[in-house]
Amino acid sequence: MGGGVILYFISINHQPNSMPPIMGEVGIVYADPLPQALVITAIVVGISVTAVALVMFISMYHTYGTTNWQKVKKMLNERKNK
Amino acid sequence: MILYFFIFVPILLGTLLYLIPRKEVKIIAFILQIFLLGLSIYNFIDISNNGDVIQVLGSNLAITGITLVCDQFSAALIILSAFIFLICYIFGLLDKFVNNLFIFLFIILQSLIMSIFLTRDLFNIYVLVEVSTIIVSVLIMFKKDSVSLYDGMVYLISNITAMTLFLFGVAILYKNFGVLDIDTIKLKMQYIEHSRSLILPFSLMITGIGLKCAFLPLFSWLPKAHATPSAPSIVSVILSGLYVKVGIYLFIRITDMYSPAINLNTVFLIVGILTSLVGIVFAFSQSDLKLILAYHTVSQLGLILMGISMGTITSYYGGVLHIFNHAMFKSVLFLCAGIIIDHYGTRDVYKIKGVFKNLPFVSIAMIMAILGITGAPFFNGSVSKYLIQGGAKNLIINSTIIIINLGTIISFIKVAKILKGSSGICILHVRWYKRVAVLLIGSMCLIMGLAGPLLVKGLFNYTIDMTFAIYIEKMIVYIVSLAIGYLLYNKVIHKLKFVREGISFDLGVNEISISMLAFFIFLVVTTYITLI
Repeated sequence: MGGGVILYFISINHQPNSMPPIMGEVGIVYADPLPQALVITAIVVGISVTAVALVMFISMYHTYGTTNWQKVKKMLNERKNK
Repeated sequence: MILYFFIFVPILLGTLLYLIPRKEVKIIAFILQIFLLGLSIYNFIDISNNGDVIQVLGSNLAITGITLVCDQFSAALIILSAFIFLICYIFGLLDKFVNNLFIFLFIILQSLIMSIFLTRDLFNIYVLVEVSTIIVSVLIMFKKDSVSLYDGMVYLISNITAMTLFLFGVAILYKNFGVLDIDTIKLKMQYIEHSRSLILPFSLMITGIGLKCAFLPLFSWLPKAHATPSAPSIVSVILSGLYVKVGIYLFIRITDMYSPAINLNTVFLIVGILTSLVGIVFAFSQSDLKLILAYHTVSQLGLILMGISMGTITSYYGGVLHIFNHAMFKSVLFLCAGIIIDHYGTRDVYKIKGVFKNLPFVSIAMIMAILGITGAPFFNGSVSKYLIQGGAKNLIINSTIIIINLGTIISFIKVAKILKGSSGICILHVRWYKRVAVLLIGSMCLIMGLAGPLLVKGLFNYTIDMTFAIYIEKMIVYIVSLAIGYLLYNKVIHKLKFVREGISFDLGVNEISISMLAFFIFLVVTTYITLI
């Protein structure tokens, strides 16, 4: 889903034959420089979120011994009933 | 310059304190909190005298650069967050789990929340909310208990999904308008020809924000995160008192941004009513003290939503004022609950007894908060509820508010029962700074209630006339509903089976995602219908 959003960002305001917005002649169609700045931020945020989620996931696997949501839930309910 | 201080001073100082661990870390952090509170009060006075402050980062133009804008509303919210963080800091000053890492996360979270209140750039909002979500989920599982790991994970994944939806909405808006600044988009919104092209970004963004504010189908992460058994109570306070207000704040800003083109007030009014009713039903079927409080957060959020989407200016102010009031009394309740749970070793309201005898100071603060949340006259809840009610145009909404208040009273009768009686448990001494913190914020409930009209005037420049007759009338309504609530609780509700046993409503990540999708489709359809 994150990838979809990033692709959408890249395709925003794309015009064929546009030039990279680097110092140069006046009068040419320039590409919009903002989306790539946003996209790189979104990618960095996405990576860190994935990293945090994975760390949580690993430590959860260590405490419960399973990666199945249903099983974890069942274990929690059993613990509650005790 | 002053707005930068709110963001950069905590981040820089927090990082420095973490990198260079010294013994004085706690003292420095404490001084930082005092400094921020003073600065925010100065900022508020400055803004109410001289008007809004706009500061541009990165570019000379406000439209293309990244702007920090502070109006009176944001300034007041910043005071609120500085105050609550200070109280939490005093409360948890010498607890064992408060180590350098915790202080680091805490200070960073504070700066993030303040910058969400200040920024007007949609992409900035996305990044800030995302980062604060990570920090909050780490704080939830700070004690590394098994249940809190699960809860923190559910919180993280559901919120990240919601914010991806938000980002998608931002992307579509950027395609349409070419800017990311909220104020500029609002200006441009008037000139849009096909308002149908706004349906998709509107629904996407509101779904993302709606999960943050825990609207009706999307609230099931909230009790999990706010009441997870092992999370420190100051984390619950920050989450329930302050962090959900970020969602509400964003909701106000975003709907305001769309207001020239899309107006869905009636739909949100209904969503608000349903949210608060459902929150109350869940609240009085719980026996877990913290869970009761967490479900009450849901119902009060519904009330705030009702206030701000009622369409009249009086109830809008009431809703906004209720944000502050709710932050106050919910913080007191969570702090008191933390103390009580620590001392009794159980979270079951049926098992806790004799709190008043054992912990008199804590109980006094708790009683003030309960009076506040149930809307007793002279306490803060009554002022904002009066304003919300004052703006209600028809009888149905008016009576719904009274019913909601009755429900609140009923479930707090259940909570208040823990105060009386006596138990044989020997109580350890409560540290003095905890008592100071609890009493300080508890008395704020009373002060804000007494100074309610003044507060409204200072915040929104709006005069309400609270005559003596209104006080008498409110007193009568309150006492009558108190009596009805007491009778109902003892005669009927107490004996119902599902209240005794408690209904558990537990959604996993998959179900939360499905309800998010359902809410999104609902929004698309209703927006489409209103625009035709």
